[in-house]
Amino acid sequence: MNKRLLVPIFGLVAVLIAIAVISPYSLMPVSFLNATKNASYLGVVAIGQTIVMLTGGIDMSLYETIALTNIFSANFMQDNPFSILSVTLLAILLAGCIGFVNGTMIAKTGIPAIIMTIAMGFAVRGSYLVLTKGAPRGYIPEVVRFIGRGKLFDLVPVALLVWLALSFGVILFLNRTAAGKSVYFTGSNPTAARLSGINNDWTIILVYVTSSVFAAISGLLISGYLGMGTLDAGVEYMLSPIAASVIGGTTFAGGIGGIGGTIIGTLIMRYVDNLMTLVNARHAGKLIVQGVIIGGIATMHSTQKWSLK
Amino acid sequence: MKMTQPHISFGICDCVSIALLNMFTTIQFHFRHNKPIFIIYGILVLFIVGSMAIFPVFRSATNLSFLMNQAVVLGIVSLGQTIPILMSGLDMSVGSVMSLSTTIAAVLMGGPGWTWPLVLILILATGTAVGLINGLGVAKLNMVPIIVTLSTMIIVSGLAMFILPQPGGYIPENIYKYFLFEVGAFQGPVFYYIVIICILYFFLHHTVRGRHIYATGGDKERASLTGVRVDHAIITGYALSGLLSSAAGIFLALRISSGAPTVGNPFLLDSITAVLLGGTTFVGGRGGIIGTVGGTLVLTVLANVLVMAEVHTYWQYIVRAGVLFVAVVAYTMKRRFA
Repeated sequence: MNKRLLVPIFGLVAVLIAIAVISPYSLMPVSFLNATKNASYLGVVAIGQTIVMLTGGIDMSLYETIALTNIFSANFMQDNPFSILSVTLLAILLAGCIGFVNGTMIAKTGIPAIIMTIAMGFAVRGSYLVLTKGAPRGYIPEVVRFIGRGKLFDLVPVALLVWLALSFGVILFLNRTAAGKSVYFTGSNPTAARLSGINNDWTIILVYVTSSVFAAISGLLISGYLGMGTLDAGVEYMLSPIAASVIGGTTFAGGIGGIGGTIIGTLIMRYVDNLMTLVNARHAGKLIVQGVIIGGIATMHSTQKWSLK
Repeated sequence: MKMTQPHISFGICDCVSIALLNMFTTIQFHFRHNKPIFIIYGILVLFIVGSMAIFPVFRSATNLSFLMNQAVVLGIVSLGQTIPILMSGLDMSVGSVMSLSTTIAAVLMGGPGWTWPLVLILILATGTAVGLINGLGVAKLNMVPIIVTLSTMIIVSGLAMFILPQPGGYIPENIYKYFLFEVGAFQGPVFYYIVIICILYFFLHHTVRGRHIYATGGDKERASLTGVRVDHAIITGYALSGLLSSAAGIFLALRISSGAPTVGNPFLLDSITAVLLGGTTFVGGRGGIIGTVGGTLVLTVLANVLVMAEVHTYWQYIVRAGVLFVAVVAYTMKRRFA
């Protein structure tokens, strides 16, 4: 058992106990499964954010990529299989291009990742505003809506299965393949990685492409959940993926962490969100809690006394 | 023996040529050492001349005075942002501190009588406190500047939403006469802006603490070895950044005559762009506020021209991002090939 996972697991248990005390009904199987399903949209983005953070970077353009995917698919999807498939592929390709530009600029010019990705977020936001003139149109076909909010055999949410499958795939990728290992190497010591023959630039580009593609997948799931195109599809996911990764033990410095922790971090974020809705906290309260969590855990990581190395 | 003294004639021609040569070398020296500043002001002059030629409206005195006023808010917050970037850090919290200032101003300034100066002090103190927390996190806890300021950014924007969930509130009329007076050709905010530039320039270049900020940005370890209190320099820098952001927030509140919890957000990216355009890079220790002022003016003129060319507001997002890309790529290329 990884020692680093202990803190998030304790956190999860604490949150569950708090929910049990405040509102035992939300621990009933049906509503609990529903709450867990609602975590899968965040979960998929958080996977991408974690991979980026493993290389010591950060991606602040993901929530705009989600919004772009949502608006794009609502605008172009027709109710036939060919259209659905091609628009899905195009949306993922588009996100891949965004990630490629991010990665190339960060790797080749040395611009801090946070500035590059915030600027990219601006550019993406500008382009979908220009394209839709501020009023997104269209709807999401039934098939995609089933994937976003439906349940297999009236029991297992499809989005949850997608999230778990993707997590499993990425865990295998990070731990069992050379490219996955090089993500960790590049993050923990770029110089040593370069000297041992790893092409850092390509690793960084790969990582940003992956994160944008995951944002697009999450955007498709969210589109299915919403059933239409909206300008605010991504707002919720601006900072929560970062919070989920950090809670899961992935550090900002890079090289340390993993998807396992991020899954737990995502669940914590989702349940805390539910909890705050239960106690009638407004958006302000949720923001403050997110900030305190990110700042607190970063402080914990920075002081040696607390870090579980 | 008779020594022949060489006769040196020193006529007016020599005087002029030496003076010219001297001037030329001085200009060359300054150009070599302040290249970004020359470039940005060159671009600014080109921009202004070009827009004057193309848009007749641009030439009007009203527009020029409006332009100066527009530059003030971005100008002040970019002055603040310059200092963390000089120390190869970054202040992500500037935008949300501005929003928080507008909300406090909009909620409290309507109080009776002379409460408004107290509110001003409260706003500036809040901004400084946020900056102090940032500085303490960076200097004492050795945290990455982006992370510390990111978490304060989130918390502060939460506070702003807590104080004023929807845009609203008002700034009482009787306050405007203290800010919107006219000094010669300058409007009040421009006057304050110039005063702040002068004070900050004096602080950064002619006081010990200011030189320490430059030294810390240049090389932290060596600065520390020569007896510079690096931590004090960092804390001062971030506190100043917070203070100036809250001051910018006050001017923003005066401009929109109300408060809004997210109104300051775009200023984060714009302030970084202005600083980078002005030639202060993330390498640290190089650059300064004079370049930042130039960067601010270029951005302001650009926004003004876009409005005159009837480009839709939505394009402004793309243009802003594009300018930042260009600035970054230009200075990276310079660093790589020069």
